[in-house]
This record gives sequence, structure tokens and C-alpha cells, in this order.
Amino acid sequence: MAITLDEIAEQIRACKRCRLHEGRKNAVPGEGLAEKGIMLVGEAPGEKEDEEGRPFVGPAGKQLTKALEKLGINRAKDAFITNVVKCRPPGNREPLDDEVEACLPYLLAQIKAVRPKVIVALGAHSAKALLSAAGRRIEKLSEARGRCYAATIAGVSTTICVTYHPAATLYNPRLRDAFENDLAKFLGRRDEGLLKYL
Amino acid sequence: MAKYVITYTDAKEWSYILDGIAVIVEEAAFSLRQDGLALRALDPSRTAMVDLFIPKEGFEEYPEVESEVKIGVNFKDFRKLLRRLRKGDKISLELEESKLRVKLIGKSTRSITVPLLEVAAEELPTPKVVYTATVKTASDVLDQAMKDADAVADAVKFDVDEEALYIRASSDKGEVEVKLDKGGELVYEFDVKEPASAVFSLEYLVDITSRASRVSDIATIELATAKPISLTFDIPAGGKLTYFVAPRVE
Repeated sequence: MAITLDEIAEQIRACKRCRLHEGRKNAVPGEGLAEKGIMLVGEAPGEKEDEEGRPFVGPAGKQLTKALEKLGINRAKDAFITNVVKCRPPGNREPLDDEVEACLPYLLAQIKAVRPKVIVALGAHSAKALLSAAGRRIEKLSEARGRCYAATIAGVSTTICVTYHPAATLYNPRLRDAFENDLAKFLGRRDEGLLKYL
Repeated sequence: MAKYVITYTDAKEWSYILDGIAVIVEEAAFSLRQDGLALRALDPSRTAMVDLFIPKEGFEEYPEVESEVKIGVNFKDFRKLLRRLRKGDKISLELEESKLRVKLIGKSTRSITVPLLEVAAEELPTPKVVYTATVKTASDVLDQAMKDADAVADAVKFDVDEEALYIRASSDKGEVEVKLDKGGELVYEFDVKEPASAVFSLEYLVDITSRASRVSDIATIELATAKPISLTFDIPAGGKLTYFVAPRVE
């Protein structure tokens, strides 16, 4: 039987696979019921996330929650939200390759448990990690941003879509528009588009 | 696995057809059927579909196939292989085991072997829409109209009545209207059973018309109110490249 999200969360909270466990207040496994088959994957927890042990609860999280609500998506009910790296890197630095590598099995286990129809990679680190796990390499976010890829990841057939990290859009209205348009394209048409005519 | 060889007389035209597919999907599988080559694929956001069929008579060489054979292709990579093709080249695709050998045959023969992709086979029906209006025009006219609309807006409205087809776009940047009159010089067929009106995002339409107008001089537009648009481009060697784009819900 596949391991459950709660069991994975327990393992993450006890994890000492890399140096990031040393400085964390709380590990941040992820949350949400994913009733609409949506999974959102960011880079790593920030200060506020580390304090609360929950993903995307700081200013970038508010931005994400607002953008989802515009599309009628309730983050707690419709999606599962997590990060590639589950513990906060010190000083909000970017996660290192060995930290991503150590943490990736948890993300893959979560994908296996959630079996999402669509995974949205938020930002370059998430896009690189997810696409690479699906056998596709990218160098820069711009190669993939705004696009979706049919993929098999952790044995799950799904679609990986790539956009900016919401933190990048906080002070840039142009990026914010592109971010919201991307999410609308990826998530806003799941019940519309051509499917209802097929 | 048996060996299958397909030869298409005009490699340039083949590359345009691939471009036309790449607008919608990065990877998809051709079906080598008894009656010809087919491909149907939906874009990942489920907004647009491409439907290609070239009958076996459209090829210089086409194999006997007992049951359908799939050829999974990454169109971006395939297109790169064709960058070096020259005018007058033929293209031959040789499928054997899990390899695809692409031969460009001209004054010399250049051969490149690529692995076949495992593309998840998704059996797709075409959209079920009862179209009430059909307008056949020059593909250039449609392409120019999309480019004009794209200059001012991100969506375009198609309105057709018994007298004309109107293609309109507007925003605070300006307004565009292209009118195609029934009986107009570049209107080859005009059959309107019922007026129709629908709005579409230009995101796909601009790229579709720009690529497909290189394959075909004639575009057939089919419309029904608030339903997906169908755009069909006849392929000179025989066959059709058809697109469906979902309407924008206002």
C-alpha cells in the first residue's frame, strides 16, 4: 500500500538527511486535500513558514492564495501545496543541490500519494527539480515558463506546468499579471476548454 | 518489428506541417494507419486541438500496415533536424525497432537516426459541434486578420451573418475590423445556415494561422455560436490540417 501524506509528513518532521534540519524551527511538509487534483510546488520555506510549519503563509503565500481564489480554487480544499525542500535554508538563501537531492524523495512520495492531474512548479528550482525527475532538463526558467508538459513522475501520469514563484511577483506588476495569467491557463480551464465538447 | 518507410516528396512542406503541429503540442504520436498518416493531439491547457490526416496517396512511398503503428515524436527536436534541408529535398522516414531514421534526399542523402519517443496514447474524439456557418477564404487573409487583431487585443470575435463574416478585436489600444463579404474576391465558399458569434483567445490563433498559411493557401472556417472554432487547411499533396480552439467564456 502506498504511504499516506500523514506518514510522509511524520518522516519529514523527523528528517535529518541534510544540514537544513539543524537550523529549522519546524519542517514544512505541505498541506491541502487536493480535491481538484492540483499540486503546487514552491522552492523552500521562508521565515514565516518555518515558524508555523505550514507552506506559503508569508507575503508570497498571500499572493498565491489570492491568485488561486480569483480562479475559484480553495487552496486548502482543492490543492496540495508544498515545496521542493521542506526545511528553511538559513537567511533565505537558495537551496543547494545536495539539499534538493536529499529532500526530493519526499516530494516524489507526495506526488505518488496525491496522484495530481496537474502539478504547478513555482519558480526555477521547482521547475528544474520536477522536470528533471520527469526526464527533462532546463537551464533557465524562461525556457519553460508558461508551458505545460505531459509527464510521468513517480509513476504518476500527470501534467507539469511552470510559472514564476509568487515571491518574484510581489513587487513587479508585470510579472504578477503573467503569473496570474499562467495560473488561469493551467488551472482555470480544467472544466472548460475543449474537454466538454469531446 | 517490421520496417516501415514513408517518403514525402516535399521536405520543406513536411517541415511546415510539423511547425503547424508544434504550435499545439511539443510531443505527440503519428499513427501509421492503413489509409494514411494521422495525428490528433490536445494542447496541455486543453484549449486547442490539432488533427492531421494525410491519405497514403499523398506520399510517394507508404508502407502496407496490418495494424496501426505509433511514431512518437518531439516536434522541437524533429524541427531542428530539418533545419538543414534544401529546396527540392524529399524526406523519408524509416521506422525500425525503436529508432526513426530521417533521410533528407536531394543532391546527396543525409541520414539522421533518432530514438522514438514513448508518447502516452490518448484516444481523442474530435469536438462534437454542429457548425452553422462555413466560410472558405485565402489563408493569408485569415492570417493577416489574426495579426491585425493581435496588434490591439488578446482576443478576437468572429461574427457571421447571411452577408458577411466580421473578424473584430478591440481594446484601449484601438479597434480592428476585417470584413469578408459573401461573394467577395477572396471568399471561395460562404454557407451560413444560421448567424454565429464567438470569441477566442488569440494565443493559439495567431500561431496557428501563421504556420498553417505556409502549408496551405486556403482556409476553411467553421463557426457556431459560443462553440469551438474549426480551421481546416488543405495540404497540397492531399489531406488536411485541422485545428479546433475552444471559445473564450465571456
